[in-house]
Amino acid sequence: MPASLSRRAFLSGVGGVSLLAAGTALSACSSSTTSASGPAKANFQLGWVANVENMGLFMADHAGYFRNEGLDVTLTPGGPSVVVEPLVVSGKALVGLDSVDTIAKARNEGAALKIVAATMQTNPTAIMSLASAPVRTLKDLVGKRLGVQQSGVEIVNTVFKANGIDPASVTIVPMQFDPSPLVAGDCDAFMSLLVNQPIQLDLQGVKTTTFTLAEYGYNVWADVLLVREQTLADKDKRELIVKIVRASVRGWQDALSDTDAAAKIVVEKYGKSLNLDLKAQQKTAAAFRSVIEAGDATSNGLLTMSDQGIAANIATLNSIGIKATAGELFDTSVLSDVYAGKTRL
Amino acid sequence: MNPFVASRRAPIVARSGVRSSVAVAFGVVGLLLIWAILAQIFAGLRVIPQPWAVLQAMWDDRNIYSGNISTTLSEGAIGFFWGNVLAVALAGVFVQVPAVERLLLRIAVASYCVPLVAIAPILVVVLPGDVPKEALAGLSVFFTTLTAAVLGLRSADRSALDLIHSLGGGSFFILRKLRLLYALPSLFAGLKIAAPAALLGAIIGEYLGSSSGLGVMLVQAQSSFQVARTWAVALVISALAGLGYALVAIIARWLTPWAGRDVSVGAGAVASGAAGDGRVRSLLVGAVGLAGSILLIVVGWYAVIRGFALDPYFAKTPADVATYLFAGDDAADHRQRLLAALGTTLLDAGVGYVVGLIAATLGAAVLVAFRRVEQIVLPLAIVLRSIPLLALTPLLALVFGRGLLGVTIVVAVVTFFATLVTVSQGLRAAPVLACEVITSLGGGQLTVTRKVRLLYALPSLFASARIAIPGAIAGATLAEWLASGKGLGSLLVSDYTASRFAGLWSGSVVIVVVSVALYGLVTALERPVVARYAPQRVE
Repeated sequence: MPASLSRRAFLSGVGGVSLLAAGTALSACSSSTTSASGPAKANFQLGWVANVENMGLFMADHAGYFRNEGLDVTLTPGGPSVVVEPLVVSGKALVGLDSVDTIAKARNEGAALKIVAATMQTNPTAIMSLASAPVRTLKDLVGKRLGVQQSGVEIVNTVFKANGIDPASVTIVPMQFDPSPLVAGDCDAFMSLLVNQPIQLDLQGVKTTTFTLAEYGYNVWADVLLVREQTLADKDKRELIVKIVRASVRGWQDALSDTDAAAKIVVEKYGKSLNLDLKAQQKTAAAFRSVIEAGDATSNGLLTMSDQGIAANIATLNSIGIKATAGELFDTSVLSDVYAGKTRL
Repeated sequence: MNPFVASRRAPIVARSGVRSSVAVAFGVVGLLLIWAILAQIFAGLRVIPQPWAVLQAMWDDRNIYSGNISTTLSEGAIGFFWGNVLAVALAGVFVQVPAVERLLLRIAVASYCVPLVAIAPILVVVLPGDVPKEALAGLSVFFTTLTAAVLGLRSADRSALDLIHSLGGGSFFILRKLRLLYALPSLFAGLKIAAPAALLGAIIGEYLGSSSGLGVMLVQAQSSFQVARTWAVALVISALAGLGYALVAIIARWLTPWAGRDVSVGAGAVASGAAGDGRVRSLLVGAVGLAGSILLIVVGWYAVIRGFALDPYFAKTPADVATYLFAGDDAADHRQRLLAALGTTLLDAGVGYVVGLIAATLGAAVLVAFRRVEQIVLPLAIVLRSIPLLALTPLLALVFGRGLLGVTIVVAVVTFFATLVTVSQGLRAAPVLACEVITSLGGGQLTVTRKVRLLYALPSLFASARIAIPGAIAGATLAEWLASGKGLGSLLVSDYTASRFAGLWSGSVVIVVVSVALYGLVTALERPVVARYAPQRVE
């Protein structure tokens, strides 16, 4: 039976730490199981509620790419309080999505995680202000109130320092994902995603001005696929990851080749319970293409992790005070297996 | 003191029912008017949509509400059921075996005030499927119901207890026949608070990730700047919470027609303790209980981590916390950082609690004196309480700022409802005879409230404090995270987002320890005060 075989191989691989082994073997059942009949079940933890941000994965499901690989993948939606890293580390999710810096921090705290593919090649973190009172550059923020989510406070402060701006000269206002405080005048600028809030506001008739933090040296990939180290160490489980990444690349290729159609499928099928606005989702989907089909992904293929890209990520991490090395944080071998010398599947 | 006498008064209830629906209609129209005017004045800010825009948004989403409502309701209902069943069962054990209470009560308090960011990863990793959301709903009701049930079970009249004793009735007989009967009004007051709380718990659970549910709708609408839709969803949540409250209230009125009307039952006595024993002995019992509670928590904590083999990266042990706070290289820095944040949080919670307490006590006094007001104020309070603060705080912060005032308002919103319900129930518990003495001497309803009811409400004031003070700390941390960016609330979330779980767990332990200590302080103050002002209630 493949199941017991993989379990045994898996246990012997981590036998040194008996406590850990017991737990991971236990939870391994929940994240992925292989049985003689039927496809292998796998849980893929997303970072946000169902919308076009994950349209490539939804397309992979819709077009049957996961099924064709012999997989039964559950795409579990996230939310504002989602806990991706603990879910992946504990094995409840086989694969998760998060940004490089978050994963690097988790690694430094002892989470044995690796990044195997990168969805957004350009970091979409952007500073958004009202066009009627525009904040055009990082320097313009001095003396202003900047609305930031708690998770962004450390990032923005280190970007300030790296650009010779005293963090104390900008008033940080705690915010969530809701941009209404910016419109209401509770802050002068708002840390947003280039591909989300500015588009939503524009559709509601609020014109905005944006610039990205990437322009100021903050360039880490976002929505990267993370797995735990033990998964890659196990031959059978690693094969599952290769299949998932391959199906994901195919899904993203489909999605980006016709973002309007992909948005329609997301709205009508995966985000059905949310009555998503088709027009807004289509505009957002088109914007997502600009950060996913970008950089080295245009030449190497989608979700790529080029050596230069990895070097740039590491440099950014180190510049914002997060220790990381390329070999520890990234595993490019899965993508090599997926593409097998090609640049498009 | 016969509870069944009151059933003869049914026609009056019916008549006041008609009047009350008029009052409700009046209140609703007034509210809509104020809303429309405010929306017009602040139209430029685009934070308050017009009522009709909200109605339009509801209508546009009519095809998806049923699915999302049923998701959230079922999570909330399952949590409500299990949380309350466990709470009532434990309350019975507490009353029968006080030693168990001494051991477990602190743990129950801890369950109420442990920060969500600390336990959410554990819940989602340990529990399958939708169970984490149900567990969060259950956690939101467990402690308040436990408190209400214990209070109720202890409120049985001293003379009635003595009578049964003298007739040869044993302790279990008393529990069944007398205590349960007397416990019902207080228990129902607790369940009324629990109904909206369970719904909120389920919605907070949905923020962890869900494919459907009202919480997901809210997140989607907020992040897309769909203001009218956000309000529509928030109002639907409030309406459901109100329905839950009303359902419990109707059942309560049906099962306990005597409660809060004519007869003195309800809010009663204090936590058990070695009241009659010597001081030294009671200190000793307390110390043993404390040591036992700590031992149980530590053992249980290790058991969960070992039993589920949780990864040490996010599941820190008591030893990790001790190292972080006392043994590591940076322990002094860590302590200093946490204590500074704790100071801010205590100030935030303290001011907010006092403001919420005063507002709720005044509100309760007015409610009891003018019953009609209740039909307007109570639904408002439920609405306020049941809008997820994640959705409400941006608006509150805009109106009241992000300083102490804004934080105070958030904390007051969190504590107001529980205090209002508990205290107004206590105010009603005043004996009819005493009230009538005042009225016959020409005193008005307000005089009755001042001279008699407030005195009789003292026990319930303390009962509400035991819920509201840990609640105020939880509210303060929430406000600090969402509005001010200072204090423990902000610190914990920033530790969490940076995967600094040792800091997160240590901060959570600090919050729990302080909350439990404050709870103990309230209980210690309660006994002499209640003994002085409501001696008939002390066992």
